[in-house]
Amino acid sequence: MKDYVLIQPDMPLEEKLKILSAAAKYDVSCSSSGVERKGNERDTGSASAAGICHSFASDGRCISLLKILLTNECIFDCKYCINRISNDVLRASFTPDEVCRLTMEFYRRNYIEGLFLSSGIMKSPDYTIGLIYEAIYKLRTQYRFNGYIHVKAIPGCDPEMLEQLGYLVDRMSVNLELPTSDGLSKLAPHKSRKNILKPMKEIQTGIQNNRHMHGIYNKKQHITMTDGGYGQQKQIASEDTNLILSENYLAESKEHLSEKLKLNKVPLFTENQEIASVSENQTQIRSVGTNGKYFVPAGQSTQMIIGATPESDYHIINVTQALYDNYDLKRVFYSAYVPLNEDKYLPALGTKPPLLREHRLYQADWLLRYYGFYAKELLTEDRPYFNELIDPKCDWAVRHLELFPVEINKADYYTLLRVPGIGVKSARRIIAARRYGTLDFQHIKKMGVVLKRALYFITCGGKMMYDIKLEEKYITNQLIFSEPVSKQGNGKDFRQMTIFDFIN
Amino acid sequence: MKEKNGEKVVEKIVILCDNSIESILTAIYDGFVIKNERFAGRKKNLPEYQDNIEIRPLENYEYEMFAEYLTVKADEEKAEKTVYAIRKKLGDKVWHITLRAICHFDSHRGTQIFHFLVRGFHIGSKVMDMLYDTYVMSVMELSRKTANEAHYFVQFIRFEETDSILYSKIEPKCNVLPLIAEHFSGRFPNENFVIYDAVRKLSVVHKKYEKYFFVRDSEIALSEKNTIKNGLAEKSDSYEMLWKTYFHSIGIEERENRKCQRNMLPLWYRKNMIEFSEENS
Repeated sequence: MKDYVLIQPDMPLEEKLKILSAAAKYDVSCSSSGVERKGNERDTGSASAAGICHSFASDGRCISLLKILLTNECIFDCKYCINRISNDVLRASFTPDEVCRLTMEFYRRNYIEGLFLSSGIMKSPDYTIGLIYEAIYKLRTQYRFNGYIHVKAIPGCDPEMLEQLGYLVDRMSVNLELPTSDGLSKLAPHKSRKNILKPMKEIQTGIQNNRHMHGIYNKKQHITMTDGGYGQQKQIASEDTNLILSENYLAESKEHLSEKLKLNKVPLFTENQEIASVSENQTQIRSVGTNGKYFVPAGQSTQMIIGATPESDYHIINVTQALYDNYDLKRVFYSAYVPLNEDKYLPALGTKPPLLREHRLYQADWLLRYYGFYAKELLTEDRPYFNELIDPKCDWAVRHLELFPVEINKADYYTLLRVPGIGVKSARRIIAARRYGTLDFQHIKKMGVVLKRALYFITCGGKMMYDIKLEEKYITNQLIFSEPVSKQGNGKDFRQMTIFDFIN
Repeated sequence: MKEKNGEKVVEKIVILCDNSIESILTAIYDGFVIKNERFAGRKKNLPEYQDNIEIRPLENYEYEMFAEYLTVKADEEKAEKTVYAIRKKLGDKVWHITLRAICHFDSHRGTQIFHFLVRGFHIGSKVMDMLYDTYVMSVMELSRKTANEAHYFVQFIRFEETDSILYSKIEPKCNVLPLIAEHFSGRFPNENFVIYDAVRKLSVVHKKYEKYFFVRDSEIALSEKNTIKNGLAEKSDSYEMLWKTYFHSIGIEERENRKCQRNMLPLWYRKNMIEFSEENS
């Protein structure tokens, strides 16, 4: 095994930034959302619950945070990673002051929304988390930075340290890396599933206790930090919600739908024993009675690498559901694997990253988080992959035509959400508007419903838009060919369109 | 004048005003005065009322036949009364929607806002949910478009460091300055900054730990701008270079997707963004 290339102590800042941002770019998450914090009239910075993107890179991904590694030195040898110990790459480290200055100066010029600090493992996990803590502490107290901070928790580090760090940052994440522990032990010999899930559980417990302490019991509610300044955070303002869209109303609608779909009460996901079974007594983060401080107010997230190991979409989406159910994660990110290293366990160099697959997984992920779908509705063991040609929601809808068409003027919220072409916004608009009048196709089109997809599944005032036969093959064809046909898909699963499709 | 069902009906009344927020609010005030004088006294105000009052910008207006014309000048008192009435009777939410719609550049916005408010004062704050009504829908649309553009500028404004202040020049389609000033003054309470709207020749000026204010070009901004320009020419900012470095190294080549980039960050917004300065020139 090679030793590192020694760090040049006088490496210019620009060079360091180049190396350490290029090393961090494979981390997907760049969101700056989840916490609302107005400026405090004293310090630099604020945070917006919806997040703000400040630029978009050549790959189309948003640049919201200054995404850097503290160091790319690493004692681990994960096969998929560019910074593994056995790779001969140039190594560099930032000093805490350099990180702070970069963040502050970029922030002042409105280039970024905050900092995303990750790191290779230097010496030991505890030592590394110490370095991160030092940089963040300096940024918050000495530089008085009040903007968004996201840090990577280092698996295997001291929970005490993690807790202290949690009070200074907005979001934490631990990367799950691979969907199964088999894959993990093959590709990342120094990481174990248990070591990854443990800090995740600790952060979850901390967040939960902390939210309860602040009187927030709704898992989805954003935290609004009304008093900035990291010394004295105090109150939380609760959002007033429109009566008709109250949580109770939505819950009822969901229950009603589950009954109709014969899902009965869906138990928390337990098939995935491994994820469910992280023992409950590992709740070392206390975070109660800590003077009204906020612990990781924007929640935690994780990411999985897609396409490095042979897991199916079915497996991945089930793991995702388990993570949402058991760890209250805000987001699960997917990262299409970009081959960087030559290895017998990995796809060959030059293999194209599975971008379409990643896209479909994200679509499905939104269905889980916002549309009330369950993983096992979307895929089954016999159909373990998403359809490349149509999105998961359309795919689900054409296989459940017995539930359609749905009457726009009567259907409840979660039923509307299941119609392809209707999203959260348009469903809410429909519910609000139909109290004052009957809605027609033109109205809902203006409200943002995509009729191109929705028209096969809805009625307005008892009538469908056109005379359409509710037949799976026909609708599937229509859905595929009325949207730009994806370059990556091949239409071999579907029969060629004929003139007879249009005569009926 | 024309006879209809035995009643005299005015074909169209057009109120002309300039493009500023105050003028439009004044025109709305005068619109209501006319409406109340001529169309009041019916059983129900709305059904008989014909939506025949228009508020249009004076600039480039092409006069029509069969219409009555009226020109108004900005009147602070009338504008304030309009704002007060909207906030009092319809609430802050409707007021913010109205304000955003006024900030749009569409020449029909005055008319649409006026009819929206006619319905609003008749129905109450629930008017926002009446999306099947064309005027309500179009005001919501205008408001949404302006809000979207304002958000784009919150995202994409780039400040340049000069000796004493942070300076940014923007060329927005909508009048976004009044909508984004609050965001930046909340975010940078300890900075002196100026954002200059080159289209409307309007700037927002924020002094450290003080409340921001708006300045029309003729006054302070002009002289300040000149000194700013000189300040910029003198030295190049090392953090601008670092930002460009970062911007290029963060993209993953294997995933290059310029189309997606253009969708998220349209070319139009890039002209004053430092990281695209090479592509622009």
